[in-house]
Parts: sequence; C-alpha cells; structure tokens
Amino acid sequence: MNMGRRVYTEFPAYIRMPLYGFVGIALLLLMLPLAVALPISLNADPWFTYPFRALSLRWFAELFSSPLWTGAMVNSLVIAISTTVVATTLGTLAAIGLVNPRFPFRTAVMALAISPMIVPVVVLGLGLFIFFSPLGLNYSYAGVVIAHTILASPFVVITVTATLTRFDFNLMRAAAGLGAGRLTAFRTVMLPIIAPGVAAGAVFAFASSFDEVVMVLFIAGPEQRTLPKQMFTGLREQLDPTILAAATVMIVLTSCLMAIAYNVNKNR
Amino acid sequence: MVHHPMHVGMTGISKTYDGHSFVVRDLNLEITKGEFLTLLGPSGSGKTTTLMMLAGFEYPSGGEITLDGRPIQDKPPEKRNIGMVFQNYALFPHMTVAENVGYSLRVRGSSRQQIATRVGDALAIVQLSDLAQRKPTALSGGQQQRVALARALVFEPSLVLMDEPLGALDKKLREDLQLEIRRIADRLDLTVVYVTHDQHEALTMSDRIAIFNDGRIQQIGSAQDIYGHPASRFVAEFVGDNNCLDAKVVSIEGDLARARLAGGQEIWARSSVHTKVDQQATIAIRPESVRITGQDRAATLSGQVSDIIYCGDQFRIHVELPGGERLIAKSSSSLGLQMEMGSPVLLDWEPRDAWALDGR
Repeated sequence: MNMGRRVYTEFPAYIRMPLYGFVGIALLLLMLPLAVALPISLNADPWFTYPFRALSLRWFAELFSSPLWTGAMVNSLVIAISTTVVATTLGTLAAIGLVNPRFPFRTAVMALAISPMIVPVVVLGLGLFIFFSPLGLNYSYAGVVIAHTILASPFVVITVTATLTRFDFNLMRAAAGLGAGRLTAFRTVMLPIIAPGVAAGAVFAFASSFDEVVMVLFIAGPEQRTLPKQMFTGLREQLDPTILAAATVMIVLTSCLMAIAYNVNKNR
Repeated sequence: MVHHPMHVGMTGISKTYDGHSFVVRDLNLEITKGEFLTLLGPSGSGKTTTLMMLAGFEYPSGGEITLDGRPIQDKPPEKRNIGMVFQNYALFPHMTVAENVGYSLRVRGSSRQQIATRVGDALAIVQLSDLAQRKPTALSGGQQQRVALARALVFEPSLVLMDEPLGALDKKLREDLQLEIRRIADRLDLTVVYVTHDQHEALTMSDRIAIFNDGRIQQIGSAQDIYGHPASRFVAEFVGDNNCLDAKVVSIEGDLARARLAGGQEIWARSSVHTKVDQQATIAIRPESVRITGQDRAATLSGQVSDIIYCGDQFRIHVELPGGERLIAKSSSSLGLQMEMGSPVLLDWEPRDAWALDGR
C-alpha cells in the first residue's frame, strides 16, 4: 500500500494534476447537493431559500416530537433491524454454501442470489405486490421485511463470499478433529474469522432497508409508514425543512454504521 | 516376539470419486498400539486419502475401518477422538496459543482449571510454555508446528495423524523436529500415522513404513526392511538411490541368482520367490554397496567412467557398462581424485547386497 502511494506521487505533475482535478470534481458532484440541501434543516423559516434570517433547531424538534415523524422513525428502525437480522443470516448461509466448489449449479445460483441488485426495484415491487396479495402479506410488517430482505441479502452474500474466499476451510476440519460439532465449529472458528465480512454485509443490509422507498410504496400500508415514505409524502403534502432534518439524521446514522464497519475491517 | 493387539485396522478399503478410477484400492493395514507408522509415497499415491479416511474427512467407498475393534467409518470426525496435525498447521488465527491448544478440552466441557493445567503440560512438552499468550501469526513456522502438535496431543487421542507436518519448514528445522516428534511419541506412547513424501523423514522416524504407489501399499516393513530388502523395482527406486539393471536370469543356486546383462556380462544377486530361470529380472544394487576395485571377483563388472561428481564427503562415479546401462558407485575422496573420465574400471559387490526383483 505504501509502495503504491509512493509510485503514484512519483508521476509527473502534468499527469497527477488532472487526476487530482478529476477526483475533486467527482467528490464535489457527490457532496455539493448535500452541502446545499442539508443546512436548510437549520433554517428558522419554513422556506427552502438562502440566506437564512436566523438559525434554529425547530425542524429537528418537529422531527422528534411529531407523532407522524417519530412513528415513521420507529417503523424504519424496526423494519431495518429485522431486515438486517434476516438478511445477514440468510446471506451468510448462502455464501457459505456458494463458496463450496461442489455446490450444484453454483454460478447460476450465485447469479440468482445477487439478481435483486440488478432487477429494477419497481419490477420487483410490483411482482411482490401481486405475489403477496393471496398470501395476505401486503400492508404487513412481515411483507415489508421480506421485500427488504430480498434487496438486502445480496450485499451480505457478496461481502461474506469475499471474506470466505480467504478463509482456510482446513480450520473447520481441525475443529472437527478436535471434537467440535459443526455448529460449535461454526460459532467458535468460522464466525469469529469471517465476522468483518458479516458485519460489513449487515451494515449494507441495514442501510439498504433504512433508505428504501419503492418497495415500501408497493407493500407497506399506513401502519408501516417508514421514514423515507414519510419524506416522500411530505414532499407533496406539507413541504417544510423537517424533511431535511430527517435526511440529516438518516445520513448521520448510516455514516456512523459505515465508519464502524470500516474500522472493524481495518483492525483485522 | 511379543504379540501386540491390533489398534487400528483397515480392511479392504477402497476410495473412488467417479466410480471407476480408484485413489485407494483394496487396502489392508493393521496398526498396533504405540506404533509409529509412516505412509510414504509420491503425490497422488493415495497416502493422504488413506489418512483422511482414518480422520473421517473422507468416506471409504468400500471396506471397514476399526479402532480398538469397533468400526468407526460411520462416525463423524468429531466423535473419533483422533488428533490431527495438518501440513499448513491450521491453527485458529483468532485465538492465542493457549486457546488453540485448549480448544479440544473447551468443546468437551472441561473445567477452566483442568484446561489450564493440561494446556500447560502440553505446551511444556513442546517447549513453548513462554509463548502461551501469543497469537499464532506472531510465531515462526517451527513454533506454529509445535503448537499444532500440542493441540493434537492435549486431549489424549487414541491415534495421532500427521499430514506432511514438516513439509513447509527448512531442512535444519525439519531434522530437529523429526527427532523431537519421535521423542514425544515415544514418551507419551502415542500411536502415530505419519504421511510424508520425504524418504529420509520416513527412514528416520518410523517403526514401520508403508510404501504407497498407485493407490496400493507396495511394501510395508521397518526402515531396514524397506531400505535393505526392497520387494519391487518401485520400492528400490523410490527409497534411497538404487542402480536398477535389466537382466535375464540364467541360473539359480541356493538363494543366489546369476543374471546376464544386456552387454553379456553376468552378475550375482540375491534371488526372491519371483525369480525364475530364463525370465527377465531387475537387479537392484545400492551405490554405496558398489566397490570400485582392481581385483576380478565373482560379481565383477567392467565399464568406463562417464562422469565424476564431487559431493563434498564423497565422489559419485558414473560408470557406463558395455550394454549401455549406467551404474553409480560412491567412492571416497582420495579414490575419486585418482579417477579419470573415460578410463576403464572394475566394479564389484557382495552378491547378497544386490537383489533380483521382478522384471519390467
């Protein structure tokens, strides 16, 4: 890594400068909309305009006191946490099965497992809505969690598979030879070693559920109104900076999770 | 001779993955308690597969494996009470040395104090007591191998399997550890099945050696048996250096056979049950048994020096025989220095040091 950095800085300036510029522009394009929009959550007036007459935390107060918003936050957290648990479990199991070279039709099953990342969410949402109606899963927490699990599992499959390709399966044989049954060996040997991959997958799963709106629009009823859906309806019905306060809270929360996952991986 | 009870038995064991090509075929093996048995053979000869079937990681396609008289092939590895040392050590990287060694006791539900005592004892045996709290990644290869050894011994397994445990170490360390493993095995009266492709390792460590080739045991016996009395051309060529000459048996007198080489010269060799007059045979003679001589004796051959190779403590003299075969003789430095390329030499050996094996 150090080597790579040194080689990079040894490039002549006429190559380096345009590269720095390109990276700068890319970062700017990603950050600028946020940098413009998020401060409005601190505007004392209910307008989306600069400059502010005064700063205030009233939209954050509104966010945390209005039952509409707090209900949405609780729903989002409940659904995202449930999705994280289910998707991480299923995704990890799927990854363990799929790294085994003797798994039948391995590539096909792998493609199927990560296909929700490629299939347009609208198509998936509509399909699930039709599939769920005879099962009575529309307008239910279970339905939303299943829908989100479908979207979130591929992240877990990918991160855990990446970790498992570096895992020495002889360790599982060693554990078995020392008297550990399969579950014990998994719990005491494999899981601690692949934990960074599982944690990263869990963070992605949480984030993908927490800011998901399309599935929610199809599957969720008024009972399952989540934060993104509340923002979505807020845009049409009562446009005020509470939406941006909610966005700020979401971004801070997911960023914290990403930072934690990054540090867990780095310390390994 | 004392009769030892059979400890491990493999009867009619075969292993095939696709139904027609066999990795191991009709293998019969008895291991007595306290024995150090080495499975020696080239890669792909079935020795590791045999070990894996003992450990329970491979399931035999046919036959029966018994431990103390009870069949075990249907038992999963974790129920067999067999210790295993892997080639790449397979230490748990997230645990300390002490946790690695104590793992088997922990999953068996031993008390914390019991674990501490026995881990301490096991680490003392492999002389690693002061590294108990290190992580395996902070240890050298030799130290990691000692940890793996301690881990495989600590739960007093009824059998210890080792799969080329010293393969990744350098020569000096390998030789030290060979002696140490053997010493520990003797001290704890372990029954060990040891897989290697290194013949020196096998000869140094084993009570008995089983030579594997092509999924079968070619010969099984003590190091002296295998080295001194090879039963087939494969064994003669695989273990140690051997000169193997194609010859035709012309007569048999007692336990000696007289055989004619391609160039017409006749030599004496010890005959075996397979040796028959008028049939082809392989005559095997070790380079260290071949003397370069001036006298004309019973087993004398003449030839020309075709190569002189200096090996430090000795010379290896390559001699070309009239029939085109090459024969290698070892010789002391002083004699080697007098040799000249292309000069004629007479070779000679004790007839009983040469073996007439089945021809090919």
